[in-house]
Amino acid sequence: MTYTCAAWMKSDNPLVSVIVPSFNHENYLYECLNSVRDQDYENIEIIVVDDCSTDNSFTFAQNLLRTPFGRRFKRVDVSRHPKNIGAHATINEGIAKAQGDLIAIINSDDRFMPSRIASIISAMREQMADVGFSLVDVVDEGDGAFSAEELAPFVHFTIRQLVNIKRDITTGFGLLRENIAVSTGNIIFSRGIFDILGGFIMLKYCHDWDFVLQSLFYCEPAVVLEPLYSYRLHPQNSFKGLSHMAELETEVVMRRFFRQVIDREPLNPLCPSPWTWPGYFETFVHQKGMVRFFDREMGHGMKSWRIYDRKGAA
Amino acid sequence: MFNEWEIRGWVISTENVMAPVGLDFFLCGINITSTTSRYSRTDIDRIVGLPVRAGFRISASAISTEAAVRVFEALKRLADVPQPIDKILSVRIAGTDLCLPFTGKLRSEMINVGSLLPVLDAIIGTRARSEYISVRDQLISAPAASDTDAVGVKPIAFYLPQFHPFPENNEWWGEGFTEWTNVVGAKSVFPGHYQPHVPADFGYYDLRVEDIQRQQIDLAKRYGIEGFCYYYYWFSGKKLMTMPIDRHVEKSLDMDFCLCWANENWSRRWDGSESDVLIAQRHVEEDDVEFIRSCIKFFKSERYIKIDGAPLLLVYRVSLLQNPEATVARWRKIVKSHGFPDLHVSMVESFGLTDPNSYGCDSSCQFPPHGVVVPEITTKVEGLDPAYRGKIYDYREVVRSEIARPIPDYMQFRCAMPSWDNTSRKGKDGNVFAYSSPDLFEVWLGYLCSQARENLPPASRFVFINAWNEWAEGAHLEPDAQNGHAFLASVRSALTHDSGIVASLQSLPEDDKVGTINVGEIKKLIGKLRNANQQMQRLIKNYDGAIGDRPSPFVPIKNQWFEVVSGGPDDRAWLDNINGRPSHDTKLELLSKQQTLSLRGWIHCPTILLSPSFPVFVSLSENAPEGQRYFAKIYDRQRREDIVNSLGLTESSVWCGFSIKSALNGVKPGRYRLDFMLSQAGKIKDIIIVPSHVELVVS
Repeated sequence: MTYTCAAWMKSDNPLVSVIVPSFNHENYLYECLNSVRDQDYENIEIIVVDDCSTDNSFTFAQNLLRTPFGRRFKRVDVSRHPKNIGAHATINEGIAKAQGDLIAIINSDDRFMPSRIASIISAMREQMADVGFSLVDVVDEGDGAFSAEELAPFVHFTIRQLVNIKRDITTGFGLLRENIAVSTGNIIFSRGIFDILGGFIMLKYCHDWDFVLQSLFYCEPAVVLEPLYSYRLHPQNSFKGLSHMAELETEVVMRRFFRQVIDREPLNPLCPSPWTWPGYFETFVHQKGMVRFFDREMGHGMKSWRIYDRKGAA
Repeated sequence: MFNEWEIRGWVISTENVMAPVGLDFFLCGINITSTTSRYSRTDIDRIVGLPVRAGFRISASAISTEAAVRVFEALKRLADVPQPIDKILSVRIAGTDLCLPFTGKLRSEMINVGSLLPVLDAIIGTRARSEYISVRDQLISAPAASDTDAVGVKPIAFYLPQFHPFPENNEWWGEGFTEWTNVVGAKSVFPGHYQPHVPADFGYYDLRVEDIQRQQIDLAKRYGIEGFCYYYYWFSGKKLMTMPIDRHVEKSLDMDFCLCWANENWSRRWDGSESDVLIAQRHVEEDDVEFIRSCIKFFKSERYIKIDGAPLLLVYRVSLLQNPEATVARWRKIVKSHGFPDLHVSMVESFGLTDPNSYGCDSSCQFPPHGVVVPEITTKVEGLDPAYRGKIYDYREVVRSEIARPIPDYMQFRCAMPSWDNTSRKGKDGNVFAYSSPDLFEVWLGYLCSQARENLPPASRFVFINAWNEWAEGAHLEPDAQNGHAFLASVRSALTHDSGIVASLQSLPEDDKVGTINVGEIKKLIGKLRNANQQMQRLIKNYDGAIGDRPSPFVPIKNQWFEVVSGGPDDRAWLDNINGRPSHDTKLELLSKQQTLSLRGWIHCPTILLSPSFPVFVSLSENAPEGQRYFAKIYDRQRREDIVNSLGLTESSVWCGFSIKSALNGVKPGRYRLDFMLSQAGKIKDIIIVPSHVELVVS
């Protein structure tokens, strides 16, 4: 498969497919869909994939989009799985149905700001990027359901995200430090880069981080420093569950990234890698405490955990 | 009953009150465990008038991890709405549909499903930890993006599919014979002669074990090897040792491969000679046709290496074919009749063969030590075993002469060997290439790679390596006890551009000129730079944190992103120092945009919990009401027991210390108030402004 940087730019007005992976958010689904309807950007199709919700999400989406509400979109596709298959698989399926050159995802309990798609596309065009994201605004609708500790990661979210994006020498290094793109819903990407990367991998939490990091090999993402995605905290997402997977997933994401940038010289000249940032990259990896993963992928440091030559070791 | 995740109750059988009753427990319809009534319940005993042991109880730990995963998923779906008990739990008498009733109190209560999830999560967590390694490896090797357009060089290693016993070898060499039989018995013939070679990671493996082959592939790929070239032992219809190749196709192992027809006699001397033949090649027309037919099933594998659709076939000794040109032409016809655009035959440059075109082949492939030109140094080796009858060559000379080798006028795939020594097979008659090392191998291979980039079209940019596992010829990339992964690591570094540049330079004579500068001087300079770079890398690794992090930049923040709430009247940030100087009297600090601002101090704000999980920012704000504000985040938070103790503050203030180095290059010139912005527990947008009473002028 051939990668052409920002091939989507051939069109002046590319079709954007908005994928809505829907799961049990009947109460929020209207606001979500309406925020897509309210986009300044005109050329949009909407694809709702319901992951076997136990509430009426599916019927609601189907009925709403059947009314004149749905006419705003170039194409409407609402479907439902017979059984629950999880977020990444649902998203991959939605994208398989998409016809747009650009793809946006929105979680069924979140909202887009009206200028989101237009602003990000124009930033992507300016930088010839295949991936773009923005700042994220967090709205607490927990009605006190959250403890202070649970809320801590969301305190001054937008400001922290902005400061973290600006902290490192490039957006790519910022992404290597942490997932400053925040959420699957906060990234817009081209069909081309999605196909080259082969979709989201089977991770519960970090599939979006993995996706953006893998895409760095090909292009530097465009960032709009305005909150254009509204993330809703509500009692339903109070316990995300399976938190012990985070450590494992972090190692997977890191090592997949290292493997990618060690083996071949990245096409993106800004991509954090030993090729493009010799010395600096290694320092960064070391300071961030990821050196163990890097060494494993480089095949360094084997001697430290195994004695090959006993004579030499003595 | 659901408290602390324990299910308690009682049950008696009316037929026999003394008999224990079997019970099955279901959560969301999923069977989680079974038990019997067995605990004494004095209240029930009193009613029945007998010690009936009617009580039962189970705790969460009785749930298996498999069940926990399913229950977790099921409960998560209900998590947002409190549920009545009978919607979630049922306790059935074993072998019946009878459910035990719940007490009235339980029936009237709604259960907060969300509170049950952490317990299940913990059960699943235990399993996740014990399966960490296997789950991780599976995920890491999830298909990564591949760009087949990449114009990289593809290293292919010759692979010997021996290393397992089979009947013919048992017959000729004794029961259980494998290559290892020779490898283990090798002895060194001069001081410093590395023998025997002791395999490291895979041990003295047996290729009948499928997992070995998978591990080999995994390891090879980790170091950038993109293909194996299997020796194909086909003798007039008789196949030997094809098991690993067949398996590669059947299991579609994740590695490209091609075949090299080992088309010589199999002799007792391992050199294809006519004497002591164990199994012979006939090379008559019918055989050669049958041979290519036997290859088709391999060619059809998706992993078979092809050049623009034409399968790549190596022939070890093309000159042995009766009429090579005609044979190759016949092969092409047959391969085309199976739907391939063509066949690419590459002649191995063994036994002095050089021109592939005169044999009807498309290209040649080097095969060192065949064809290397290098003087013998046997007599110069000190301490040589007087009974030694073989020949010793200098590997360093091989590298030098191979780099200087002129480019032929036919298509040639080049090949390097990590080392070579067949004394394990031939004892004191064996030959040795002495002084090989991973560094020299890297120079050699690096040069071949840069040459391949220049001279070969992208679809056939191959470089061969002799070999992956010729242990009995001392030629193996596979890890051994002395070198570990060093030769493999050389393959990776050889693939990088700079190593190719260095290698190309190595081939030029010292007194050549690039512009006005001598090549020798450039070599020296590069040597110094590489050395300095290595030293720096080592410093970086050994002195954690010796190189400071980048300063956190001040970034413009919009006022609508936060809400100011008032703090206490005495709240204040105390600066111990500003840019390294004590700051007791500082009221105004002058800085230029290019400077960094370093602050160290502590925050006095007794009403607020100063936990490191809540962010603290430094802010610069213009004095105008709608003036610009900039924030920098404090990443370095410090415990200050000294402050807490001397001021009699509570434990909530212990994280009041901070230190920050910030960059001002994003700040427009002007006069700013320096404040500290705290967040308030439980509120995601609230900010408490703590003044420092210091002003900053940025010029």
